[in-house]
Amino acid sequence: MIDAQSSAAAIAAAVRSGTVSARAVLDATLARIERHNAELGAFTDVVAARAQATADAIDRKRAAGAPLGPLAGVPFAVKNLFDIAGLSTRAGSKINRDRPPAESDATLITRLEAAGAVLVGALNMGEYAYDFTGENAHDGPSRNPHDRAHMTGGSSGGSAAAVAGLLVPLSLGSDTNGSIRVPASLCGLFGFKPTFGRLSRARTYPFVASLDHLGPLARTTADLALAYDAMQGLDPADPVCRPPAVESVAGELGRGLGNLRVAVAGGHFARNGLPEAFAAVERVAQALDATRTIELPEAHRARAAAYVITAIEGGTLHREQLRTRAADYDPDTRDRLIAGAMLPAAWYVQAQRFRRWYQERVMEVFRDVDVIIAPATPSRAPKLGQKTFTLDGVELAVRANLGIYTQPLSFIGLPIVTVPVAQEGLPIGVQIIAAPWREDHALRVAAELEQRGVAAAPIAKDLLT
Amino acid sequence: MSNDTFDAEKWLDAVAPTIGIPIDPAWRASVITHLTIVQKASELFVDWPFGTADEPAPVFTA
Repeated sequence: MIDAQSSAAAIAAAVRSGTVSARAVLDATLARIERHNAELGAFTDVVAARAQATADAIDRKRAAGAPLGPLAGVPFAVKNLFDIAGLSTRAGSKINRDRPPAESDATLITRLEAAGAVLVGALNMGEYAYDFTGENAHDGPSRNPHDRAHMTGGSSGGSAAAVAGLLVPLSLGSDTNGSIRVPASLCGLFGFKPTFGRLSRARTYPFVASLDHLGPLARTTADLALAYDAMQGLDPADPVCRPPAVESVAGELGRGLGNLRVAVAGGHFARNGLPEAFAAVERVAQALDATRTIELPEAHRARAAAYVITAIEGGTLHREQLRTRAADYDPDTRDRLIAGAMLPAAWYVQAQRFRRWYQERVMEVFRDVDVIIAPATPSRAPKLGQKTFTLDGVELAVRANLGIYTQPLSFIGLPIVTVPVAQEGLPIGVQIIAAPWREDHALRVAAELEQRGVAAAPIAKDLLT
Repeated sequence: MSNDTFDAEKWLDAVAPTIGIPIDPAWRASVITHLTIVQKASELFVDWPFGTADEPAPVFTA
């Protein structure tokens, strides 16, 4: 039976077999969005007519005996920085609503639809992706489906709320410094940021061009893999997209750990967190029999360099707009972008040089290990509106520090899966980190943890209807 | 390249009009705070003992 908690894989199998029609799946999805979106703040746009046409076309194809794709009839939604033909790409902002509608879809939407998936809408996000909270001054916050008084995390907050809230089984987000991995951790989802340059970013609104990644969020590893496989491939429209080859992983998930060498990240990744973050890592490490601890050298400096690059590239992107429309920004975004727009070039050059230095040191670590485990967030979801939390006895800003463990890793483009660690209470996740272009390693470990019952996406039972 | 003499207030007053970004008095303190935060972050790497191979530019192939 297909219901609100069905996985993308189960829906696609049912649609292919004719157990359920794509239109029936879609109608149930649209009804759930209508029922629950106001309390979750997940969707900012629903493209019902387009989705109905897509679903009906899939059903006609099946009736004609044509083969259906691996994501046949799977409803999905995208962070509202993806271009959707006919909609203005708002990127969480007020200002972008004045832009003309996009003429065509982002590449990743086109590829998911080519695999049979059905786009149902665009999702809430932190303004211009400069956010770890999921709060938005213009559209209201996305709310954590497991406790609506708490944050989803951001900036892909709507992407997490939609999947954890059982509105869709699959969404896409972006991750510059942690914006897929943080909300995945706080909402109890599997979130996946492939290697920098693996997936096309064409026709999405940028934030920090040298750090931006795109990727999926789902309730199972298998669903991440299905979406990932469908989205891979060169795209001349994104000059950064230079994958070595298309490397399908969905069929590799059952291989188990094999000879993979797994270690736990120490140093920076063993400090500045609450006990629940380290307990989650310990649980995963025990399940994987990972007894070795490694250190990613100078990770705290890497985080600082990522912070500076983010400020300067983001500020530069917005400089012209800040001259004329500064008052139309969310103040929390505006003041950081203004600061970033006027910083000395020397800081940026040194930050990029540090990035090269750090990447080479981390690659040395990957000579001895295949997969590294680290916390995804320093805490469970803070309350909406909460400005600070205390880590290691120091009161710190929530907005800047939810990404304390994600930022040093996306800085050098590593592929990472965040897995939700099965436990009571609000969720928390762990990062499974692999060497560049070894997405298969991270996904295999995530699948193994899921198979052993250590990783599981909790179900918000009050949202099942 | 030490930047410990960086004065965020003076920097803001000099650079904002130069690049044409108006600063509303209500935002000024917050922008200064963010300039200071970034400056402190930069202190962690700006004087790092880089080698000549630690180049920031990507490698281009023709």
